[in-house]
Amino acid sequence: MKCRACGQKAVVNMRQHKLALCKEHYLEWIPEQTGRFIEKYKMFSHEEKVLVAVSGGKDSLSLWDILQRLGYQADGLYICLGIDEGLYYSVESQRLTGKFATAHRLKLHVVDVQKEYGSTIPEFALKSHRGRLKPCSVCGLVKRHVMNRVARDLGYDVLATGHNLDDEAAVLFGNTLSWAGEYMLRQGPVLHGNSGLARKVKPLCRIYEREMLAYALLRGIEYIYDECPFSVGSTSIYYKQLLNKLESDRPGAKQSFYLSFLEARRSGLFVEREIIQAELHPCTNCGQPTSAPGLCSFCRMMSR
Amino acid sequence: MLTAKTRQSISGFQNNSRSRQRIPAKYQFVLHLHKFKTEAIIFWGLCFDFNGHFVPPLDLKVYNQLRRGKILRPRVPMVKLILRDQEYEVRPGMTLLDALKKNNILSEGVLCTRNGELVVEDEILRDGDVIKLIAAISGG
Repeated sequence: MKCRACGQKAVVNMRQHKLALCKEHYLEWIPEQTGRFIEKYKMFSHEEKVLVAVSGGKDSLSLWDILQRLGYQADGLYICLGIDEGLYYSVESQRLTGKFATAHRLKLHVVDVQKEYGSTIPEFALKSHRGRLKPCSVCGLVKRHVMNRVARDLGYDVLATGHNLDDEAAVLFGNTLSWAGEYMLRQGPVLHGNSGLARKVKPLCRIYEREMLAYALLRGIEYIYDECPFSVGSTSIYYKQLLNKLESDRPGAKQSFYLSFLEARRSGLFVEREIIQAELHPCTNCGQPTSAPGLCSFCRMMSR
Repeated sequence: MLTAKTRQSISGFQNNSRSRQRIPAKYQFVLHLHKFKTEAIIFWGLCFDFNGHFVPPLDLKVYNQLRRGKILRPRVPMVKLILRDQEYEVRPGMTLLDALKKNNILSEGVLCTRNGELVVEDEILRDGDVIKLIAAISGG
């Protein structure tokens, strides 16, 4: 198979685009596409400060690398969750993130959950009643709270995450199975902020996970290969496998599923009821916006 | 009669489990007997193995071929695919995509590398190739 651009031997074949590229042109194509989507969805401009949530995984580190290559002002935020389970998962992911930041001379903010809030994520899961001892629910709540707090306190305009198309399609698939209309209304490349909440963007939302893996490997980015030990058997990974089976038989199905949803929502498929739009007010403890009366979910969990 | 050098070469041959596996089964017992220096029984006498089956006497020509390692099954050409800690073997000559389908591995969920270089799915597999598959699915 030959590269479409130069005719040399191709190293990556993207059946959904009917496009095969060599290493050199592939490493140009991915940032070019990412830049195109940032402008298309009006995610942020070169004048705005971007905070990239990095976990040490291939997507977040690749996103940070791409934003740097495109000339955006992007600093990183790493949240140390204290997950060990015999793999030293958090230790290793922090080491790789720090190594990447040092090598590329990028600014990295590190927040240690245990030092800031007194417990690791698994310990929080044991103490709280959320998620029946599996820490995923607590983990998501803590990460969202910390990301928003750091973005607000340090004056960042935008918070960028490394969610790729496979992530978005899997979430959409799960929401469609349960017809979770509220979540479907809010899912998209950009979640607009308001007073107290930073704008959240997903620059990689139209790039396949396989493509991001190829980018990380070809670029030589060292990322943590092991997955979070608590992610074994998770529903999102199961949905991804189902969608991959569909994609293997029908190239382009995942992309079509996600893009058609965005277009259908834009055209008015979902009627936004006024009662869904909950009124937000600042939490009496931390000041972050919340729809619940009094304390936000994070502060309520901490008080227990 | 067997010289000391011959005994040494046979014992080395016997100790090499990989080469021993390629010796046809009916001759493996013969090499086993040599450990006990029973060459006289093999050439001129009747011989029964431990299961009570008759082992026919060898003539000298076949015995020499065995000793030199010439009576061996031909090595089967193979390609190895490695995904995490699982190994799969396929015959060379097929495409990488066909090899993945044969082992129920979705091409969308993996990237394939050979000697550290990415390879595309239409690559024809050659004898001795070791393809490392890197899982693309992550998250939770």
